[in-house]
Amino acid sequence: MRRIRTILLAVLLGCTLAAQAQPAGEVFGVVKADAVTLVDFLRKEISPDIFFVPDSADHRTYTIRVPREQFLERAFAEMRGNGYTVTAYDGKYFILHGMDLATTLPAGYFNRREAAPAADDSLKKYLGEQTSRMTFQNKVYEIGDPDQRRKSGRATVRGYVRDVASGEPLVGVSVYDDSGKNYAQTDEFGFYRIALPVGENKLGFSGYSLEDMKLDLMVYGDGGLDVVMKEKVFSLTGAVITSESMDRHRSARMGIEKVRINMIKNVPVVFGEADALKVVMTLPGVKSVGEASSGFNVRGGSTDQNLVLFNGGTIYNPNHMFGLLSAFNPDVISDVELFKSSIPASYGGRISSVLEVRNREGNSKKVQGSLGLGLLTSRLHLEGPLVKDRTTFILGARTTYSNWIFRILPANSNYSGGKASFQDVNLGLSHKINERNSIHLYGYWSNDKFSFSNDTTFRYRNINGSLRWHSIFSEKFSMTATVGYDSYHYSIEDVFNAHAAYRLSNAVDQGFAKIEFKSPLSDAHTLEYGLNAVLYDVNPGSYHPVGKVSLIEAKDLDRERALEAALFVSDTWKVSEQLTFDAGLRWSQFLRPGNSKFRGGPEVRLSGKYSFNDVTSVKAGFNTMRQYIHMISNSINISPTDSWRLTGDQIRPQEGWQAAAGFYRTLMGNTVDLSLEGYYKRVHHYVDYKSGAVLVMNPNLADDLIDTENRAYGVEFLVKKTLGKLNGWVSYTWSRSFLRETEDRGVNTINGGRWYHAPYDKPHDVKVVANYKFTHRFSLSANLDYASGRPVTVPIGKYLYAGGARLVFSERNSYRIPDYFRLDLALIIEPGHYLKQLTHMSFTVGCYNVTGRKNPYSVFYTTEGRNISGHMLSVFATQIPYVNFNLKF
Amino acid sequence: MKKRLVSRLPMLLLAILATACVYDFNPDLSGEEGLLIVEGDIVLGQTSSFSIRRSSALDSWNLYEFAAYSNLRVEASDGTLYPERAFGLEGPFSRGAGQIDLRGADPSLEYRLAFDCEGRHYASHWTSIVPNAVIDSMSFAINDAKTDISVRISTHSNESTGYYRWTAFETWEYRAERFATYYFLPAGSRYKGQPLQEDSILPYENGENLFYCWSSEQRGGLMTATTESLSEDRLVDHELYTLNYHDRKISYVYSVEVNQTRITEEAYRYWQMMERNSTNVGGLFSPEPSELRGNIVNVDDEAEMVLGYVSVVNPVKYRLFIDDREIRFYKELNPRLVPEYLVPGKPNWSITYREGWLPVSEYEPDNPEVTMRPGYVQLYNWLPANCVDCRFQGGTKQKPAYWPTPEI
Repeated sequence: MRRIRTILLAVLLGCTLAAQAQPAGEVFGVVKADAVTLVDFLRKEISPDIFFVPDSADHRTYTIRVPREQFLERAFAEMRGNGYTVTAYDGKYFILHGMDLATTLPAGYFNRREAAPAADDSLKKYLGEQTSRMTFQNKVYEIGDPDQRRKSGRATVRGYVRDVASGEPLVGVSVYDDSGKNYAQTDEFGFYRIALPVGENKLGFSGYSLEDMKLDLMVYGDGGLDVVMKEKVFSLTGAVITSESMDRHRSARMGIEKVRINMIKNVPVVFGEADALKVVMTLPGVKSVGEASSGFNVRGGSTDQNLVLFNGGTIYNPNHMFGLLSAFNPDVISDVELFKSSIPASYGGRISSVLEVRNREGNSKKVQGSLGLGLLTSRLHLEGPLVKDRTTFILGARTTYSNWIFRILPANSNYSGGKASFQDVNLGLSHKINERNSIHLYGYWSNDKFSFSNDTTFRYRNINGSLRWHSIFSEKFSMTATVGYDSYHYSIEDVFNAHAAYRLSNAVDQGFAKIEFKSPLSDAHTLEYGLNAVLYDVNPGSYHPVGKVSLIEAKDLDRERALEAALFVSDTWKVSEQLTFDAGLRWSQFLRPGNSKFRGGPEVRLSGKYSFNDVTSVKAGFNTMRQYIHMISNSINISPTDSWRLTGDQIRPQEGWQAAAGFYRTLMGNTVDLSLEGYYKRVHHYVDYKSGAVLVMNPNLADDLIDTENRAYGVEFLVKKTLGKLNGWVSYTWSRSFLRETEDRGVNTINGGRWYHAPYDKPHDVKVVANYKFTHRFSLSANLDYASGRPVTVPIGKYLYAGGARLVFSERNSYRIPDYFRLDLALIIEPGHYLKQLTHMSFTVGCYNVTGRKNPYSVFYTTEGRNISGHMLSVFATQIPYVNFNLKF
Repeated sequence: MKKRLVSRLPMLLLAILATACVYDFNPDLSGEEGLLIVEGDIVLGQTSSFSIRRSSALDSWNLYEFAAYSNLRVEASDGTLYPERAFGLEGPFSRGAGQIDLRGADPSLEYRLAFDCEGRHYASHWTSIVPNAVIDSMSFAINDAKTDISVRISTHSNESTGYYRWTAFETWEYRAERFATYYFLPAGSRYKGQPLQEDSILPYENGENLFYCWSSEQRGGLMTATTESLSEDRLVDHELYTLNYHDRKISYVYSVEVNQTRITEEAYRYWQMMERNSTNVGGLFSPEPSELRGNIVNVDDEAEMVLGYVSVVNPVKYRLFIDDREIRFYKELNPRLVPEYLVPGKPNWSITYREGWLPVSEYEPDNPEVTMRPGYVQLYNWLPANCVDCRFQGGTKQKPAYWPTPEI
């Protein structure tokens, strides 16, 4: 019967239309039918509910011969191939040319159970060569060309993961298949690549604060699949695998902490200014010497052993106002990632850690922005497309009106009576050349001016610019190339005495280039390799007269120029589902003109993982690092007079190694991560100073430096809950850090050549960061910090000399100041979720140091005449309430 | 919501205004005592003073203890020995301080200080003299806020770089609160060679008074400077120290004699470090205090920590006057309320005197006719002694010979 109808139809239309009968299962079809004919055929044969707007310019014909069950999909696929879009809604099909039809909100917008209609089960086929764009779950996506399907083996699926609303790439999203055997993570461009067995697959996507997603895939061969994901509006309960815990059990790398901007914005900080660096300091293994210092110490290392990268550029001073605030505008950054143990081979140049701070990418759909008012700063940010879905920009700027704060700081804090101003501007431009190539341009400028009184002014500024090209040459070969320029300039001007008025300045300028290739060799091996070069131009000091009567003799220390070049290669070797190794080798070479000594050598980065099951694993790692640039400073904080010096014939590079091991377990339906990591670390040729060393404008600085070694070890315990109404982390760290002078300078050897406490040796450390969401609009955040007091050098005796009381000091760092404890609370009021509202307001009301504890920053003695008195400096010695107001538009 | 917050903002700010502070804090540190401290410079051509003391524990009441030394001497590189000037007390009875006469010492030689203490031998490093510079002038300047006077020095030498250290000896004239024209003498005191029959109140004669006093002290702070960074060895208006407008030292006439020595770079670093360790500590960016080792060693055991630095110097001096009668700069801080007491009759005088009061002036009744009446007894205004006798505030009546106020 059906056969007769088909033949009739063919005759009526006057085309060569044939239906063929097959003995087993029937195949019918159309031959050389135009689009209108085809649709008519479909309406009659399959479903009357097909709405079609023909393209008059379309003269292509269709020949389709498949079994009846597959006919509809095949026909739609063919039409898509010719530029039509086919949309299914409520059992009806809409076929349009050159335009999209939105029929529904993305899946699960209101509720997972009422997810978008699953009516289009029959709508399936996307062509393999073309990158599919995922919009709905509960569909089967075909990857690869079904005509060239492989019988067995594996295929590579790659694509971008973006935010559904803004089109921003989503970084760090876990991509995994149902078997749990295959796993990948999106990179900074939102790009992922995963190897899957040919055939049916279920591919999961999950990321922090994003709705989890499961897609059904039919993999025929290599192909692309772009995915859009949506931020979670409702807190989900139940079993959800989060990217962080996935990553923990998949990757062999350890000691990596990532904090996203949403969490950063929730953590209460002093004055309520969301601050990425302050949040980094709440992570286990990260310590600071005190409040109001942005210099941080990672696993017993010094402050200059951290590489702070902002979009690939090095930030030498990541602080505003000498540490009250960090220099990263919270409105434009997406996340920060700290590598404190397994540092990938592509990074190098610092001993202790790498901190990556990344810009967000601008919204690719519409222009939007925000306005923020805090106690210290006002902020503005704008983002949006320049060319829709191709070119986006993001721009952020901050300025301060913070002079009032200096009237309240302690008289001895070096801040009081000061005036301070700062500005920073961030710019990010991204352009998608095509599916496989994108370029990104980043610019950053920050400027600080600070004066103690009318006659002394400090200034510093950072400038960074970089250009990045990301290219996917093929399924198995991608490249990221970056070139950039970083500049840090610092100066002090003192005009108190006109005859001795001077300006002292120093600077680090550097150009850098980095090229990185990533290539999965096979299922088991993924190779990454590349080249990294930094060309330094350091001005260690310039001293110039200011004004006409100044007797200051202009003096410039010789500029230091050098090239640090490094070749790196690393391989991730998945021996089995349980066992993974990550092995990297980096050869860094430091070339400085006029230097006769060989400065360079290999650095190894090894780590291994063994998983007992999906939720339990152990890891171990060993790293060596080399550092060729040193911060010259004799205060424990990052201070105004610090300068940078390069390794030379007399100053050796710092060399260090770290061995670490850890145990990881995920509990309670994958919502709670436990980790226990231990490490042992040694650093050689750390630079310390002789007593009375002249650090400023000293051409023979090397004579005043002493070679010191560092030994550090510790255990970090972390419980982290990333999902649910209550989220956050609790960590306890026990760690020690010691220094020892290695030269023998007789009686002058520091502490007689014995090990002594590093200034940041704080053995016990408890940190709690928690956020509890009462409703979608109200949440409460708490931050608790307890740490042992830091070691200090104190007087042990006194005497009378030169008409005044003088102090005899103990051996270095032999006493500890009292322990540190602080609790901060904040109430965050989010805007109402009215989609049509033009502006959204949010408030943060908080209190820093709720208990008002007078935490000591330092303990010191002053002598006045013959009197000696002991003091304690407490930077924020009372409750500091704050409000912060944000307007999004 | 927003409105409420905005109106509360000033209150929040006020709350913050009371935040951070420096607190008194005395950790439980007893510390160690007994490090040897040597102070003094080898001043060629003059008598040099040295003191040898021991440091005391941090919680001790004393700032120092004298060390019992012996055989204190200055040695010249040609073998000449300059012994301690004898005062008749030797060995364990020595006062921890001694003087050595270095008149006639050859400035072209190297010198060192040496002594023995508790059986150990100590000596400073051999050093030769650093030629001094010329003090061009000293001056003072009032700051913009009109709260401080800065005391400045200008000096230069013909060499390229110099390291300087100054000490300052301050002298100032000050006054009691009230000028007394009378004084009290109890019965039995001698007055003009005769014992007094009864308690008397007598007028001061010949300009005698207890109103004008002079006080002196060595200024405590360490003052050093270098011309390392300058194009020549010249300091112009280099600030030595400041005096606050509430400082009683500048209430009338103030004088300072500055003693300038030119020292070696090593000595300069030592003094700088000492200054840093005692003043510039504890701030957010302050350098860590560091160990201080001078140029004196235990010859037998170099590991022993000995504090102090002995330089060979040739000091030059300069005196500066600051006369508040000209600059009208001094502001009295919390002027004292001076109680006055009218003591009725002679029998009460000696009790009042013993209670610490002094007569100042005759009582003058509002109606002068009262004094003409028969039987009228002259009454006197009495004031607490420390308001009348300037010596109560630490000074003496010894007017320095160079003082520029001949009228008093």
